[in-house]
Amino acid sequence: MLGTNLFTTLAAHHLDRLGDRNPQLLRELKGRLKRFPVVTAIVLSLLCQIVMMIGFWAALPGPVRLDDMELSTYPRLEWHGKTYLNSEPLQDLLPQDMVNRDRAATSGVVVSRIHDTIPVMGDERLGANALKAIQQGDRLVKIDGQLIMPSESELNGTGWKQKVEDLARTVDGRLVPNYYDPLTPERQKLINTTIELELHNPERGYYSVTVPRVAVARQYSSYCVLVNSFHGESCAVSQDKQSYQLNWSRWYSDIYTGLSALIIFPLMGLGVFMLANNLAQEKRRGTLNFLQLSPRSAFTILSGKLLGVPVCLYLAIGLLFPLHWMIGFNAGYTVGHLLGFDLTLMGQTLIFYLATLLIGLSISQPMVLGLMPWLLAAGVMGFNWIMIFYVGSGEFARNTEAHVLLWSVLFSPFSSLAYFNFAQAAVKSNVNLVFGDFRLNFVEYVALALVHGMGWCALLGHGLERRFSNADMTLLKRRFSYPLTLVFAVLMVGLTGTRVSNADVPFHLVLIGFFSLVYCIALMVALSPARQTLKDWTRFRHAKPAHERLSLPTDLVLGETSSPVVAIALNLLLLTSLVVIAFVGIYPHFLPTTLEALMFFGCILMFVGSILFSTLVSQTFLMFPRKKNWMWLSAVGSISCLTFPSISMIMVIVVHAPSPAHTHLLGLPAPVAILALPLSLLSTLTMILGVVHTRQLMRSGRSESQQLLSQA
Amino acid sequence: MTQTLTSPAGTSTGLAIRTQHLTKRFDRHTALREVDLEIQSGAVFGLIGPNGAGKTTLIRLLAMAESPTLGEVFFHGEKLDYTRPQFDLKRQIGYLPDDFPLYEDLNVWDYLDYFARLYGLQDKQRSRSIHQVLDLVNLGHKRKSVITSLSRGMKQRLGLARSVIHTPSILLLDEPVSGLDPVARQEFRQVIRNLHGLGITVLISSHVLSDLAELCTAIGILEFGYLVENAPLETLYQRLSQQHIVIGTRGDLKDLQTELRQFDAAVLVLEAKPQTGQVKIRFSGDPDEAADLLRSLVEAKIPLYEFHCEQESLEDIFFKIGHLQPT
Repeated sequence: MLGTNLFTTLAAHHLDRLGDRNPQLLRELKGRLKRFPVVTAIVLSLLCQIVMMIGFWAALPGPVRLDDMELSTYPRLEWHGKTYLNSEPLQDLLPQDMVNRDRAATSGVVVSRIHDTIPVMGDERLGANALKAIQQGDRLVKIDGQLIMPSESELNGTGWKQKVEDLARTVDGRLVPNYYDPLTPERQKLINTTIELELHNPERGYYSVTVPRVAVARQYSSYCVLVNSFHGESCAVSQDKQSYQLNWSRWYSDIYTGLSALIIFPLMGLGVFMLANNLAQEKRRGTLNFLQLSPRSAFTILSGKLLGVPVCLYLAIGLLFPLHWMIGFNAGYTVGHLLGFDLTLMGQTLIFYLATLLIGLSISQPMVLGLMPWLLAAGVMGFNWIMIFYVGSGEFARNTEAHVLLWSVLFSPFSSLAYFNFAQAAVKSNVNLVFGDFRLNFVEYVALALVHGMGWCALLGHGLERRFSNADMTLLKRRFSYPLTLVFAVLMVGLTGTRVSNADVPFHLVLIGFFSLVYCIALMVALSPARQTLKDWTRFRHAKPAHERLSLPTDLVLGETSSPVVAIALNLLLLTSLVVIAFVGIYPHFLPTTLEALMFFGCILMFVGSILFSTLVSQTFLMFPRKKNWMWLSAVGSISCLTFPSISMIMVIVVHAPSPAHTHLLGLPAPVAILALPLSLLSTLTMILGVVHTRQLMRSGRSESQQLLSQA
Repeated sequence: MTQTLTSPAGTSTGLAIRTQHLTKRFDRHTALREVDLEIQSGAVFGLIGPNGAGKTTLIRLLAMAESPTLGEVFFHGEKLDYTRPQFDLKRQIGYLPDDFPLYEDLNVWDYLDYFARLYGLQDKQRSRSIHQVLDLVNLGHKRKSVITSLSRGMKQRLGLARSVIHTPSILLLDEPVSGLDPVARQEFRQVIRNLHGLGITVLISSHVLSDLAELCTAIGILEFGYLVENAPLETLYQRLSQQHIVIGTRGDLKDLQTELRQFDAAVLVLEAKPQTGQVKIRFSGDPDEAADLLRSLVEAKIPLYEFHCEQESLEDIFFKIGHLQPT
């Protein structure tokens, strides 16, 4: 009683201290650490562990039972009907004076395999001599004194192969009658009965052996120590012949994987849902404003949410960890390996959590807010589900060409599991993530995933800090966008590596193009100021105090409130030129002719043009009188969706045209014509839209009196 | 035990709030235009104006809930920077918006405790502050009640308690008495008076002008986003409020009117009611001159039965100089 009271007092004291440091965390903890949710979390966690352990326990083979046994011989022999019969005339092989015994020694069934599966019932000593004597390739001559050989007519017939196979089956039937039948008491009587076999060895000549009938196990389980048996692989029986020999490391390894999935899916899916839902609730209720106005940093408030909102989930998952670690140790993994998995899991989860908070802070439409938790959770779960198959396929660990899609493995904890999965008592040493020109072992992978996670956290934290303190601020400082683009370009080229064959370069460029498109759209969102901010910039840019005012070019490139078109164009230029220079430098021969080089640069221009066009469309929509973000997003989305596949198609046509120089269209080489038309159309449209947007901005910047004068 | 809220630290004489060319645009609509506002430290400043005049926008800008299109804001001489969080300045502000949401699942004490922690109050100071504000808003008996069970008036007072839990030097109240019954309004006024007594600078916007007239030491009138008036209440009355005197006689009304002509320079007859013998005049003299007028009438043996002065109310002033918008 005294102990409980002391514990409660101490816990309250520590909670109080914690609340002083992070009131948001205390609020979330107090709201959630109530009896019902806590007990539910504990019960669910324990229940999941119990069910999983029961499930895996049930998958283990039980004691050796009669039902799992079959009648066999010791040793068990496999036959095939290979004879010396080929194109040579039969009479040359089988002289007329040869006795039937000799004919059998040259044309009978052949011992193809000898299985020494230890019998569960029966005395293997009875067959010890046979096991020593019989060799692969020996031919069976007699069973219990009766000759075993194909008849002459059978050998002369056309379907002799089938006939000899039938003969092999007959031999099997004679040795072990109806071996698939259950081991009934009548059949058990056959155990230890012996069969006399006469065989022929080309070197040793004829010999006789005694083979006993025995009962062997025919159980199969991936958790057994497997041995080759008559029907394939089957479980090895232990010394006492009461149970099977188990492959425990494999069993623990599978439980570890199962528990990992049990941790990853709820932690990522449910955690993202809880955070998004909580933020949406705060936004709908309007209480988030008070938090934003309080003298607490975004870090304090959001870390409070991050640690507090899913606290019951953390509790449930935390209870899984002791078992997870114990199982990991039993599977043969070291502390370093287990810690590596947990650290990458934490880092990768944090990326998704921070991204959820940022998306939650950036969305204000009630309908989207309502859908947001479901969409985000489904997205994260879907991504991880795909990653199970991607990682499971071993694609990223093959010694083939690397590509940018490999980036995705740094976001999913299932990637680190690939180093563990199906391991035999240790982390696989032969699994190496092919990352550009590097092959990463487990430790290197963990280090890279952590650095990658830290980079993302810094970037997302920057956005959160800005968006939390002022909802009108852009997510990213414009001056940070340029180094970010540099990092992105290096990552894209680095992931692709230098081992790509010239013929595959266009495919990799298309992949990079797709990622770049996604990056540019993200940049558009991150650098676009709020509509009102942009309007205020056009109207009052000159009215700012001299010390705060920037020159127009500086403002467009580095300012926070100006139109982002120039900044996006610069980023695009930087990204494209870096990728192109790198590719041309690394693969100087992938464009062998001038025409192909021309086409390639045409495609690049097309790509740059289409993204600029999308940017201009987005900004033009943004300046429309009524604020409709969905319109802006759909415009950018649809244009991107339309332009990208067409550019990719053109690129593939251009680079892979069988003889581009010799096909003609409209009097021009066909690829030039194919590219020139959309390029000229796109550049014209981009220019028109650029003028429209500039006029729009100028109109927006007019004072009331200027507007009245222009109307007059 | 009744405890008294302590005076905020850092209050000083001089200007508590100063804005310079404060402008806020929403799309093409300019909600605030070049507002130059000055509020003395310790003042209760009433902000009045019709709907859409920009009162809420001005308060939100001062509370840092929005950033201005143009212009600057100073609290006790320190400039607000909307591009970076200024926690020290935020600690000086208490803000109660017109539609303030509450965490309905919490009880009163936990709600205040949460905000006290957010504002950095620790241990005993926090506990003392919560007790003090609960006493201040008369909710001490409800400290264990869940917020959802409180009446609207109580919630309003709880909101006020939340906004003063950290004893801010500047309190911004946006329509705090809207929707309250007369009793709750009276209680609320008393709380504001107490806060004023502590030296907190209060900016309060309201449509209930009688409340403001009773509470405020200075008034600002917003029209179309322009601050058309910004003055201490006394000055405003002196400058814009006129005095009416109602005089009643049991004798002949014409004798009274004849006698009043001697004061033509200060008197303008507005209304005469022969059936009751009453005259309503606009009197532009000071109180001594009003006394002279009364003495003169008595000496003239006018049988007076009524002589009382009426000052034009804040509402009259507002209608006189403001309320230009069609709505």
